[in-house]
Amino acid sequence: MDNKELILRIKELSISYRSSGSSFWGSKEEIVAVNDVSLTVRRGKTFAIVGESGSGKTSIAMSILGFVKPVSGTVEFNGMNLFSLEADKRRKTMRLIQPVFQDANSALNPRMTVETSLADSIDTPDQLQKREQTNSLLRSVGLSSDHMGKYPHQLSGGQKQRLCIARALAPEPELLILDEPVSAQDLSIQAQILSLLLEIKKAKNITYLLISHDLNVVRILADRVAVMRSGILVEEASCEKFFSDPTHPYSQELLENSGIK
Amino acid sequence: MLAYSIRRLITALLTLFLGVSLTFFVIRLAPGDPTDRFLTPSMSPKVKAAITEKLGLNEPLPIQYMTWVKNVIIDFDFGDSFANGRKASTVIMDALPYTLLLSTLSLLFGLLLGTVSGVYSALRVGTPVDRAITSILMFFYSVPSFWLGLILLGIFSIELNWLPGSQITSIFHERLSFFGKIGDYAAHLILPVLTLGLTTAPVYGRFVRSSMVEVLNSDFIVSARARGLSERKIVFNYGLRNALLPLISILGTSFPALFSGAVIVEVIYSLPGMGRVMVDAALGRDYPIIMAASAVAFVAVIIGNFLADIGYAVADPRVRLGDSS
Amino acid sequence: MNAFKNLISQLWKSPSGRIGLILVALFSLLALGAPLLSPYDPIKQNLLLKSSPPSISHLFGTDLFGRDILSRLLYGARVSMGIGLGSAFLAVFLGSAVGLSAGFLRGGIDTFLMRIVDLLLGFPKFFILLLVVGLGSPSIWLTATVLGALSWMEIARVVRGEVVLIREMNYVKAATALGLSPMNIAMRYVLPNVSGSIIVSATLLVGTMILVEASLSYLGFGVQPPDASWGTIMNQGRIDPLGTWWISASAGSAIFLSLIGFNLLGDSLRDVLDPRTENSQS
Repeated sequence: MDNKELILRIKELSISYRSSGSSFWGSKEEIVAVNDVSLTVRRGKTFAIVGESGSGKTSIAMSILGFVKPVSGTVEFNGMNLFSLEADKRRKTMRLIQPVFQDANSALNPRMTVETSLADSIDTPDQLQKREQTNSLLRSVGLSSDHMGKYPHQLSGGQKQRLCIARALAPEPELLILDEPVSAQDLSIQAQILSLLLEIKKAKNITYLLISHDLNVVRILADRVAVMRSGILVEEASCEKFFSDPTHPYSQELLENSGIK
Repeated sequence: MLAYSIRRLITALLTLFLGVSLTFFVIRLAPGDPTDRFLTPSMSPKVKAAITEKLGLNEPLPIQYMTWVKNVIIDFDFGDSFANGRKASTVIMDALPYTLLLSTLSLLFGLLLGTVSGVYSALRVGTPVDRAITSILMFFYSVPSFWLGLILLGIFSIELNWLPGSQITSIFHERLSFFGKIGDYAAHLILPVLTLGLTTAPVYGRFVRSSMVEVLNSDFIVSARARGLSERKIVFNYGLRNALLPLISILGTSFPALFSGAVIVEVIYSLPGMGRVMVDAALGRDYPIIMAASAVAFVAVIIGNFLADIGYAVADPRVRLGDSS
Repeated sequence: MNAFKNLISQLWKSPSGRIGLILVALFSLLALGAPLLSPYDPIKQNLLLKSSPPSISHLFGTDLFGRDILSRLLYGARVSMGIGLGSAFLAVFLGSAVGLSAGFLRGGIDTFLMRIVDLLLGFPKFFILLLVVGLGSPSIWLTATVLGALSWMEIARVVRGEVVLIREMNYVKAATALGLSPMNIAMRYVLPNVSGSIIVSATLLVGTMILVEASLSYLGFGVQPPDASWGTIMNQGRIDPLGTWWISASAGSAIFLSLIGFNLLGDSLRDVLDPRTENSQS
């Protein structure tokens, strides 16, 4: 696989947390969240990591975003090791990787209007340009400029998630990390958000890294699927292969439990 | 647990040492001169210099500090009072029991009153009874202890003459029987304990009420009700235990407030406790007494915090000591 | 300004909020208008009129030196409320700065700052105040500074506790992913979301500070003449509690009512601003 086609390469990534409640000089228990996981994500595709809560899938996302330091392993983005970039270069690079979180309520600053939230994410000193970009971002996620002066608590759940997506799109990212992007929403809203995500992907050719436990969502969005269980990657396959003919017994179990198969 | 205790002990000793050292320099650098008390305007500078030397105040400050630390650590000698020449440790040890007695009794009284009214109020949340208790608690929460003390003194001691309003014993105390003596102490302590207890109770009452309301609305209480457990069992076995747990942590941190409350109450009721000693020492720049008293005050606060931590660990099996986050 | 109006109207809804607002506003106006409202010179002695009970000409009576107590209380409001507000402001500033730094930066700085807070919380505050204020024969400014400098630790703890929680919120993560500077995130994403608790603590602290100052000056350790706080005025009522009851009654009421005001206002603010309850924003 050549480097241009490859956007993200995770090599032998291990992440562990120290348990709380440990004593001062006593030994601290280590909880291994991610154990020696390697995977590659192709540009323009949607790569889904599935698994139950506690399987380590969110830890992988958090370490890509730099919120969790891994014990070992590397994450390469566009061929650059994210953990060994210089501060300035890192800041620029990290703007190309943007998260969309599950709970839009906690993902929006309650003290900021829609306009400020978006304006903050656009990196230009030109106020006029900022305004225009804010407007077009709003439109691109199906919100209107009427929403500009509103605070998050004045928006509906679906509108909040749309705003989060708009904010993530502002720095024109190459990779969106979607951490359970619709599981906090009603079914009808879920459908709207999913079609918005599909639309955006088509229009902007962005790569998605989808973290989800909901196989229905995975089936709609994903091109490739990786299955995590207790920190270990147990299976990786194309979406068709995974849904039609999963190899690992755990994958089969997941599919059965989800009612798809 | 052992490691934790050792760490706590080290922190406590460090606090004590730093605090007392800081106090030493602060009081020395503050304006005012202890020799003033011995001087009349006509006295010559020579006499003043002689007194200064006699009190050991002519040495450079760091030397005085070293001497003080050495005497305290090796001989447990805090020096002699400038005012009357008594050993500072004796002066403090004479006064401390009264302050401890007053603080402990007031704490127990305030805690009992606060807990009972807080729980009672929480069980009737939203009713006129709750509102009345909340208002009364707010009243005593806001009333200055020195004002309440003065009012109680005026009514029950001066006007009605029901209770003694000053000193810890009557003049005929020595002639009383053993039980008479205890009764005499008790009579002298009623108004001070009432004053300090009534102003302490709302701190606990308000806290207990809000934590009890929270606990009573929690899922496990709701499910206990659904399972048909008796209301009595729910309140006492489930509610109280969980509501009172956080009380222990504020109990420890309220020690300094209790101590300062005791100082004021002692002054109002002319009790021979630490409050009187501290105020007199501060007014007269009686350095040895100030230093000894401050050491005691630091130790009291440290012990309070330590007891609160231990109490918390004992009461709540989920807490493992040392988890600082 | 709109947010402020909104807040006032929410506070006005509950009886305790209303009483709190009225009392705090009233005492603030009395303090500000002292020179206009005072019927007499607060420091001019009139030994012919010493210790006279309330009358038409002296509504709250006179003190041991024949000074008009009402006038002294009005000017005393400036001292007491000034020290209360000034010291609370300083404490809130220091406490917020320390709490925000510790909670936001975490790591070694957090441990270091919180060890200092623990250390200072282990200090017998009132006793130190007694010494510093008592030995220094301080001005109003120094008293406020010392009170504030010794009272910021609780606020630092409260602020740190909230900052630690808010730091983990996804909007802070989103802001970090957008490459915003830590200072920007701390000041615009974290601090505004702690402001509710800060305002509540600040309001309650003003009351506490007024009380502590009053206790100090009641013991004779307060501000120096000719300045007089409510505690100083009350100190004179100690000598003969019943014979000159009006001295402690009026000065005590002033302290008590201002404390009720700040405590009720603080409690109501907590009800309105508590981030855990809904309908709390803007």
